[in-house]
Amino acid sequence: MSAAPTTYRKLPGGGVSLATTYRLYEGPDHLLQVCSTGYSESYKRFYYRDVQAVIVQRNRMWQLWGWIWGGNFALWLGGWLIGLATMPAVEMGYVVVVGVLLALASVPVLANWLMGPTCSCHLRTAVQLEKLPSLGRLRKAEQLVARFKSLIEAAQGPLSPEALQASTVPSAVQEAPPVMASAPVAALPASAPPPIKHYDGRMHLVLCWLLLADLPSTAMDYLNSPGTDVLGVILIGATTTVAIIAGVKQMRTDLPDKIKRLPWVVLGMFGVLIVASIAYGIVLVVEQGPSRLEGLRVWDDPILLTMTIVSTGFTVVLGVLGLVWLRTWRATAAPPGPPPMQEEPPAAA
Amino acid sequence: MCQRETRVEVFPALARPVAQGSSAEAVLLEGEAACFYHPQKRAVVPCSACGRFLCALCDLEFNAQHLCPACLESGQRKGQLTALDMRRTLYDSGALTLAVVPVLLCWPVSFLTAPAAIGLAVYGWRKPGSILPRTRARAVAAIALGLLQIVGWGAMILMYLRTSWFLTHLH
Repeated sequence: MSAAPTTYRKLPGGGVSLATTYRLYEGPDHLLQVCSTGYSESYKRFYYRDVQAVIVQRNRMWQLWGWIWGGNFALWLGGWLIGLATMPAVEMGYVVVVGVLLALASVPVLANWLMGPTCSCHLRTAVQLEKLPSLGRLRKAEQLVARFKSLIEAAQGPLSPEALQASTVPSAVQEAPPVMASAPVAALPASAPPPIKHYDGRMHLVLCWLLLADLPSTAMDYLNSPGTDVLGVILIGATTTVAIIAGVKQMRTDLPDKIKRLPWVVLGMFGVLIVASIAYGIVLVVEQGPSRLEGLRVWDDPILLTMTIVSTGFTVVLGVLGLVWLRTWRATAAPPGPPPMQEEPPAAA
Repeated sequence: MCQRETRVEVFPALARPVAQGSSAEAVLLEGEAACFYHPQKRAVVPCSACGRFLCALCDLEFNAQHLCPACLESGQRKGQLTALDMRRTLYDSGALTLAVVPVLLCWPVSFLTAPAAIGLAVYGWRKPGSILPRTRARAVAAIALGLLQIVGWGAMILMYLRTSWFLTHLH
């Protein structure tokens, strides 16, 4: 009964979500999407003979990441320039360390710029509309779609204009692609994704205010107010918890993508900050002994001061952006009502 | 409308009507071959795996073979039909992680994880791995590292015993 093992060819591109990676492989008669956690792989096969359409839609993730990474770079650049300008007052070590961090901050900016605009790519068959997370960059997606086209046409033959006209899909495909991409043209049966719920983004609102609360908390820390250390830890803990809850609550909701990314950006930023703080603490202890950390305040150390300014600036920018996005979205979005009654088919012209 | 730039490539399958399921024909004449699962239906083909007669309803054409539902299910369960595999566990990756990570993060735990890594690598050796091309290098490395850690633990225990109070007084 067993058949000969299928040979696969790895295709360029790859997508990453929280703990999974996505890759596409070209098989003799199908496209294989592999979702890997590192310890297990799950597979989805799209047979060339069944593919009805490939939809590539440009999105604004490129700009968003450009702003985020660019903002981060600008903050480090500012810190470095301030260091250079006040050179006699600060040590050479500060300028070197911030320069190295600046160089590191430039890597994601350059990578994002070099990889080009982002997109979302979907593959449609008679019974499903599947996202291909490994095709997240427009340039790569277009190359691969051209390749898919030759493979699919080899299996199905070219599509004649008469066949396109005769298909169940009206002229929407030809005339208004955005409509097609956002609303699949034919009813998708059982395997279609579950319906999108409405969510007002309450946890995101709390998250934004917690992010903004970092500013007074940091200011109190500068003023050596009592209890600010405890307050800071509570604030970080609360922000992390709310970010996780917001990340879970936003799943399969109608919240805009840019607001959905906010909790993950916050968690990523906290992760980077914690790692950087630990690394710098280790450097301080190794160089100057454990006593250096006792009673250390942000004013005492220029690197610590820069890190604090960068992190506070970042949280404030994220908080303000989140509030603006939420406000704009809430003003335009209305909770979805009951599904519309079945419409009469349009009369033939 | 999102007004985003969208490119749609459509293919002939879009114009193809959704395939309708076939229905089996009833047995009309006495002595006519009937389906093993539906004795009232006419057999059209034998199962390529078990040889049972199948009607049009039970005939599942797969990889140029005609299979009955039972053989198809059993083939999928036993991993004989790779084209139906939806998920595979990568025991070799798990074993390698067990062999490497504890040594880097918390080495005393390797007393337990080294044998576990070897066990997992051996357990997964004959199991179907990834359907993608993949060597056994991870499993071999996990076994080698696990053995190395066990040898290290053995040497440590031996050294401890040789210098312990018990052995000193025994001699």
